[in-house]
Amino acid sequence: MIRHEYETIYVTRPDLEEAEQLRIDEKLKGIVANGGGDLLIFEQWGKRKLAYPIRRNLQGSYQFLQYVAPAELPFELERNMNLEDTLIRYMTVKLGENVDVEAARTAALEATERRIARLGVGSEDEDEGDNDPDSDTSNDDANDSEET
Amino acid sequence: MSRSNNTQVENVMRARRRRRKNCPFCADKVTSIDYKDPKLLRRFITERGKIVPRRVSGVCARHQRGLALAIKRGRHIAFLPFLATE
Repeated sequence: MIRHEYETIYVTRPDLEEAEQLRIDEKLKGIVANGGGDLLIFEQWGKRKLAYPIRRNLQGSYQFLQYVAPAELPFELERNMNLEDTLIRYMTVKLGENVDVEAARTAALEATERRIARLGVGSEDEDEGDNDPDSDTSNDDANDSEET
Repeated sequence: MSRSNNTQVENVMRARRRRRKNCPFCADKVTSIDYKDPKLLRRFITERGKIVPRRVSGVCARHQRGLALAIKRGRHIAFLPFLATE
């Protein structure tokens, strides 16, 4: 059977009890396993500040799945994620078509290592100032003629 | 006459403002831009949250396409704002 590589990020409410979080995680992992998928990576990135409020939540708890699965699986996964009221956001991205599981697994593990080296697992340090490369705001200011 | 003066002035200004226009992604030989890296992506959005045009950032066309996609994905999972108010 032709299988593709996908990754899914899902965000749950930050005030979830651990047991409930675990139930959701295990349920989704189970869906991958039962749907003919091979889970490559499961990561918990922990609580992060959301860039904008989602259903009045300012924070979210991020989980990350990477798997090789037949094309129907993401639909089934998303159907189940829609059923969870406490799951506030998800996104699935296809990474590769018709991939070999073992090759994908080694590549995924390597990529994860590189990412952790670069970013940390769920690093929260977002307090750095935004340095836009040569933002043209200064130009605009200069061109504004003062009115009297 | 005055017109040529104007273009001269513009030329001078352009020369003064000239800066490096090299694609930072080409320089690092990046093949795909990771939407899960908000720290990187934030360098290519304005304070308002808009995607910086490549004429400003100097990113090449190919990487700008990937960058725009990554920023849009980053917005969806709330790593990046759709709109930031200051």
